[in-house]
Amino acid sequence: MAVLDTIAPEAKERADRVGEADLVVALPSCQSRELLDSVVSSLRPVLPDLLPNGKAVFLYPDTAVASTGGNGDLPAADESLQLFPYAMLPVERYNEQSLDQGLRSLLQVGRTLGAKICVMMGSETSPDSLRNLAEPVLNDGFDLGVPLYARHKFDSLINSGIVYPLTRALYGARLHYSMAADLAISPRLAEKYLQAPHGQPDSGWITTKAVCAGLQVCQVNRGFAPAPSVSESADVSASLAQVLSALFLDAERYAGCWQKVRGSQALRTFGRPARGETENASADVHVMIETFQRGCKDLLDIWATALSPATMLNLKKLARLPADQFRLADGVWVHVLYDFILAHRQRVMSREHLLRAMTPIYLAWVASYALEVQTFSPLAVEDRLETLCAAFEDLKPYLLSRWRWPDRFNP
Amino acid sequence: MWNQVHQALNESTTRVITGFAKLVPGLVALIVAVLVSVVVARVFGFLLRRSLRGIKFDAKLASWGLSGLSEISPTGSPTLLVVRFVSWCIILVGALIGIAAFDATLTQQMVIRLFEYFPNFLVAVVLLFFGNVIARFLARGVLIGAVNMNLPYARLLSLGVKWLVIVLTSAMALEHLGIGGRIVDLAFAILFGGIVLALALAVGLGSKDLVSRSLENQTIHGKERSEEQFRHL
Repeated sequence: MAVLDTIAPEAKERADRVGEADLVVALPSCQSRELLDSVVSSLRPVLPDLLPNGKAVFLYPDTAVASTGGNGDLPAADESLQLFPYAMLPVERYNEQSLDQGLRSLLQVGRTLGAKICVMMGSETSPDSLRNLAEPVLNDGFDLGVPLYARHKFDSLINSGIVYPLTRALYGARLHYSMAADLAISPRLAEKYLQAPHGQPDSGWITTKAVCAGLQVCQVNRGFAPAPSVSESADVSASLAQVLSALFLDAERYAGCWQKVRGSQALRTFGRPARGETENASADVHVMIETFQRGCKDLLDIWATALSPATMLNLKKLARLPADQFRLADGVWVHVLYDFILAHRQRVMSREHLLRAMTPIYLAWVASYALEVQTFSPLAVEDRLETLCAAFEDLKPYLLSRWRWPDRFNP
Repeated sequence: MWNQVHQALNESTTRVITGFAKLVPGLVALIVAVLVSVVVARVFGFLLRRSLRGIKFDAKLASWGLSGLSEISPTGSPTLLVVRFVSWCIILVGALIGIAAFDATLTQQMVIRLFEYFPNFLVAVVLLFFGNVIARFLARGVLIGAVNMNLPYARLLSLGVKWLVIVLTSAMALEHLGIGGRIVDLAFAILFGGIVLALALAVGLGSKDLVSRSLENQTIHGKERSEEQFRHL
């Protein structure tokens, strides 16, 4: 396998001047000079604890200095900390392309400087975040540290209903936030990530790669997940299509890996989990149910190209239920997702259309879930999601069978 | 007098029979040419179908993002569509060869004009074909987008977009064929305008609820908006 991408000549010169570093941290969100100053000042005190006598490099977007005309003084560099400007764009969670670009920048510089660990701080830039993520990789030999966020019951719904259960069932690792933008990465994983499979530059999620390569992955308890940016949460349909596309492409890339996996294993988790309080907010889901019912009226032909007849029948029955009895059974939801994975693979229609056509069914799941858990305690919500994950694992043989023999009769 | 009538009848009968006798070889040639072309088309079609299935043409087309072709293909297979198109082309060429065998000036002129017209016909067919594919693609995109936005007239919008594209490409195809002249332009303008008006009405009526809902959410204090209650990412 070829090692793709090399560091730009200018950056190479700068790296030569820096020499070597033990820790390289990417700060893609520091797009202004003020923010960079404050983040560097807050992170600097953590470094002596993390790396006694070690050297760290903070990678920041070169636009941060350009925004002040390049005149202001940067935070003072010393023997233990160097600042390194690099062409970087902000990293968005759940956005494969933006995270991939950010990671490539970080890992290329890290490789050039011979770093023992690279840390991507895409959404959180607190000192605790850096310390908690970096320690397991530096001290316990893990290859990847991923944050584990606490959640309110109606937060991170795409992750709770799709990403976590699906990745867990496919790859067998109970990794709650596989699409997080804050990551600690070992040189071994960095090297693997920079090697693209089959000469393709598009290498998928780093978490999937780490799990499929059999590397050591751990989770680090953090507080509640950072709120999505305005651009991230603007359009549910676009967000869903983006996440599903990344997941389904990974399922194709790593088909050889997940077909061998049965069940799932818990990952070692560091830190103490944050506990949420019981929220008794009543869920207003009538618009979601209405959208689903409209989808059932107008998108049936499109769904029929992807879904099995039995699943179609269940969805039609669901559309006729009154709001108080509106429940989407776990089995039906899992079949919907598995059928869409297969339809995506077989390209039964334009992939963008296919993924966007799933929005009304996803909204039906959200409505059903919200109605069910609106009075639940945080612990009961976790139990409910655990039941959903079990359904994904139990029905995996259906996906396997249809993946291997797509033309076989499927009632 | 009767002799002259008899002679005239004899001569006309001879002329008709001679004319018919001259026509028979051409007619036989036409039938033979069509029959041969049908046989060639079937053999060629069989070989083409086997080769296309051998290279998994349908799957390859889908992987190139041309899955829209299967929707307008017989039994959903683009392979069959290609085979039938090629077969009919071969039969058409055979028929033209047969017609040319008549050796009459009129037929020759007809063949020449037909061959001159053929490129226009081909362009018109290609236009209609791609117009159809694009119309279906856009209509589906609009339908999905409109349903996701919870617009009440999603299907009407989608149909409007589909017919807009089909009418546009049909007008272009007719212009290429040289049929209708200015009437096509006029009819196209009227039809296009009508569809746009219908769409505008549909969007206006469809978005009425959306606008009132949005205003309601902004003006009534204390009412929790359902969108804010849920965070999808």
